[in-house]
Amino acid sequence: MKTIEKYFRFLKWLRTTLCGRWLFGVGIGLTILLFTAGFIVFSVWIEGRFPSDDPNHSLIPRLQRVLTKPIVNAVSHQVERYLRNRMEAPYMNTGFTLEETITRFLDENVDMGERRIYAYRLAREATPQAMAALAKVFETARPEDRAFMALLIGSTRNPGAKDLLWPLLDDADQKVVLAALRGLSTIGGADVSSKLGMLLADSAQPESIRIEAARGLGDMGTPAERDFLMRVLVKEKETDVGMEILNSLGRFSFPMVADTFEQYLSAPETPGPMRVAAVESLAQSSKEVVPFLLGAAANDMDPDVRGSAAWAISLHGPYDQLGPTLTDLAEQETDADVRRRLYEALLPQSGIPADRLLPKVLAEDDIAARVAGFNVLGSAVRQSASAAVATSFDQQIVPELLQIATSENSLNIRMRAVFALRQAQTAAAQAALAEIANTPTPQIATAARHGLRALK
Amino acid sequence: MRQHRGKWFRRRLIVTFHMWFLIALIPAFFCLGQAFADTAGDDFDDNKKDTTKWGTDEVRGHGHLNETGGRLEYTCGSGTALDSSDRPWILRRFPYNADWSIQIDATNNTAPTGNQWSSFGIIVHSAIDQDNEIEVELEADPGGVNAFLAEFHYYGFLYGTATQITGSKSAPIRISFNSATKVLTVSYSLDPGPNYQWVDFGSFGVNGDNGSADWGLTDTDQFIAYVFGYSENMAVNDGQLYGDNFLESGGVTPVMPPPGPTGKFRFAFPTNNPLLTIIASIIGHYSGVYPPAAFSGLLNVLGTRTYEMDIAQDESGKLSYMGTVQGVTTQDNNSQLSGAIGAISTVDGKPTAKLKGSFDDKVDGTPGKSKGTANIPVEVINIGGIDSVAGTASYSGKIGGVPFSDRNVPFQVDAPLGTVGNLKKDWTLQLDITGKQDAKGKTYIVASSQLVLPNGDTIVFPEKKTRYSTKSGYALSFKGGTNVTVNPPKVDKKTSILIKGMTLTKQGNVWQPTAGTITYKFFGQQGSGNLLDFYVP
Repeated sequence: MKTIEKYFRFLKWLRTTLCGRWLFGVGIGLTILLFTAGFIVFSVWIEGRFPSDDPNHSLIPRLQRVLTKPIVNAVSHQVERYLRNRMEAPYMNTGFTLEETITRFLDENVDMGERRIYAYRLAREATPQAMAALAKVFETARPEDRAFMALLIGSTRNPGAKDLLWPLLDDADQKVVLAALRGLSTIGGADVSSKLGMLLADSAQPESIRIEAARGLGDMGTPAERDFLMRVLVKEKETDVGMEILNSLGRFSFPMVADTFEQYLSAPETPGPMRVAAVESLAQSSKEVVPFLLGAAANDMDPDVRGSAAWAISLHGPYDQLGPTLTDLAEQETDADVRRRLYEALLPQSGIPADRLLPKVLAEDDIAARVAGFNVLGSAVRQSASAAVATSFDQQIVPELLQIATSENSLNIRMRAVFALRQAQTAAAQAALAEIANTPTPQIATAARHGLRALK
Repeated sequence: MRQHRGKWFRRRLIVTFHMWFLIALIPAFFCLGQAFADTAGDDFDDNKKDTTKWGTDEVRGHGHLNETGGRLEYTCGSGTALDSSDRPWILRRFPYNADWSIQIDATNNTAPTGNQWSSFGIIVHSAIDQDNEIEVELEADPGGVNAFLAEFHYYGFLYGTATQITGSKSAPIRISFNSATKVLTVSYSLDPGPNYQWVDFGSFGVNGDNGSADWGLTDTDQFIAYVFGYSENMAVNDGQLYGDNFLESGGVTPVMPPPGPTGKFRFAFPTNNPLLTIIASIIGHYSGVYPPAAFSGLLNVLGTRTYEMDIAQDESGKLSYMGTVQGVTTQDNNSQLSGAIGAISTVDGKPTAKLKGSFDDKVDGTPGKSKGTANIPVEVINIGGIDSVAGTASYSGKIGGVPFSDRNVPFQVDAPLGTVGNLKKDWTLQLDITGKQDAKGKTYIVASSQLVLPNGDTIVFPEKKTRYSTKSGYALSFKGGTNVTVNPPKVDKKTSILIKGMTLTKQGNVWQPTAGTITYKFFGQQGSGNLLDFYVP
């Protein structure tokens, strides 16, 4: 006992004054708060800098997953909640109480354009009175109002609101059915997943219903929905439903669908347009898809597939050390349209070997590929191209771009010529833009003026 | 089918027929036969039908033409209400853009009584419409009168006549054409030949001038000639009704009529029909405030930022952007952001922008990464008097190291400035279907078209052979055309037009579509509809 007293002897002063005790309490509280805040900041920083789910960059993966990751997840959850609340605000903050909102919702003297907006709040709150009011209005509302409310109810993501949407799947008006499907898929759940899967698999259903079901399964994005999509994909040939299935599968994280896409693309019976659609859908996938797309851009026999793969890469933005690889592909590629897409994929990359690219681009006969190449070179000139490339750009390419932008040509090509000049930002390019700003084509002149304005 | 029917009855109407349409009648002056360098004919002396010159007889009733006795005899064993035989001259046809004449020595020794009637003569009709025709003949009617008669038809209707009573039962008759005035003149000769003394007794214009009929002919069109014998309610025996010394000048190699309807047809997207799928072009400049008000929660974190974007859209609907967002630069401090941003495709009959952005930029100097996708129907909706766009968005990013994301968030935001002006959906298709002839003289139909896209680009589809079926009409597929707006012109593999079941009917002298469907595909989008909704008469 004496030993304990000895250890806590230094606390004896607390008992001396009331003020001292209070100050001690506050101090302890502040210390805990500061520590907590500091730990949250530390957790956010360490997860941002050394993500625990990235084995190549995390410091202590196990410890991070136990300590810092849950904290960041909690903060993230709060941020998302905050954002969602802000988004919901126009629907939820109606200036009425819930009871008043229900009354107005049921009041046929109130304009339906206003009443149907209240469906969101009613479905979100989902009290028995609110649900009853919704059910009642659904009985008499016009199809376009039913469809509008079905979408709105779905966007609440309140599982309790599904009861309102299920009956709408039997609605006589197809746009109501489509809206109900969209609403249900936004809410999600295993029951919705299996219903959408059944509708998708049922070839007797109207095409638009099956397309919406495929889209809904893609929206939900769990392995169960993926499996539904895969099962039907193998039965679909060159159809709009098949295209939408691919589009939906493309939205999954690539590791979840990699095997499916590899098999689908390598199957000899897969029609050409479907292979193109498959590759293009991967533009929406996660960044892990880039090496796969690179393989398709390099090796596929079909130039349309190669071009689509290059385009999909361009939508994934900057990627580690991709500049030289894409340049290699552009040098080897025989199809001008594919080269155009490769140049577009090069645009966001760093480390572009402009000296190698310059002669290739200058040798392009195809105007679209040529201008796409000029865009890459313009970007390279601005970043860190050699003096030789910069000189060539100013002396040879700028006059050509000026001529393209100011003479008869496709609006698309002319616009991209202006983009190329804006990329470079050299004095010669600026002078060309100043000249283009006076061209009579409004879109082109505006784009040039905008380029000049941005550099002021 | 030739128009000569019911002449006995018509003959009696002629006297009172209001002939305001005749631009000149019986000038009653003599003129000498015109001299044509190139002549062809048949004196029938071989008593055998020359099948290189004459085609298959078109017979009604019991009419019969036969080369015998050194002439072309018309006979009719037992008369019916209408008997005739028309023999087409196939060796040559007669041009619209040059002068020509056709003559034959006609003899009519018949003596009709009661409701009987007979004639022998020449018919000329337009090669593109046989209901536009002229006949000249030597007739005999029940009153014992012989007369030179001409009948002029306009799309099957008797449009004008000319008669000259004669005491002669045999005389050369002629139809001639003046290509300068586009007038057909009918004549008879006072001299049996060879020193013809032609007397014109009727003239009929065919180009619509001065109140004349307009047969709708162009310089490349031709006329076809026949000789014929005709009778009503009577038997005609050998030696009673015949022709001899058929002679034509100025005939040319026949251009056969195309085996189907031809013409130029214009189609345009009817922008006021909400049921049809729009193909959207959105090239142009856009500006506004980011984030939009619906995401105002972000405003407190990122601040309100103005943006300006220029969008380019290629032939497959793929979009690229270049623009500025206030306070945002690339990692190498470039304020001009650029790159691919997605594509527009047709989803459920609506053009839908599928946008994806993957950004590795600096916001007010602080590095940040974000990415997002959005599906936005390309349509401007008016909400409370404000132009808006609505769609769904998914996003993920980091604010100060805190990740956040959401999927399929519905949104409705004010349309960026420029949206209404930049959204172009008008397009037109000029379809040209025309007849052609191969080296062997066989005719066929070719179709070509020219498509003007909403962004102003013109795609030219070269002519290709096609066929017309009365039942299922034309099936025309145009793909792989050349974009001639692009300089140098470039083949556009992404643009196609498919027309199916395009049936046509003739109204006046113009073919008009009566049914069909059109599927249009360009800018990575596609739609289809009833062809007639697109037709611009």
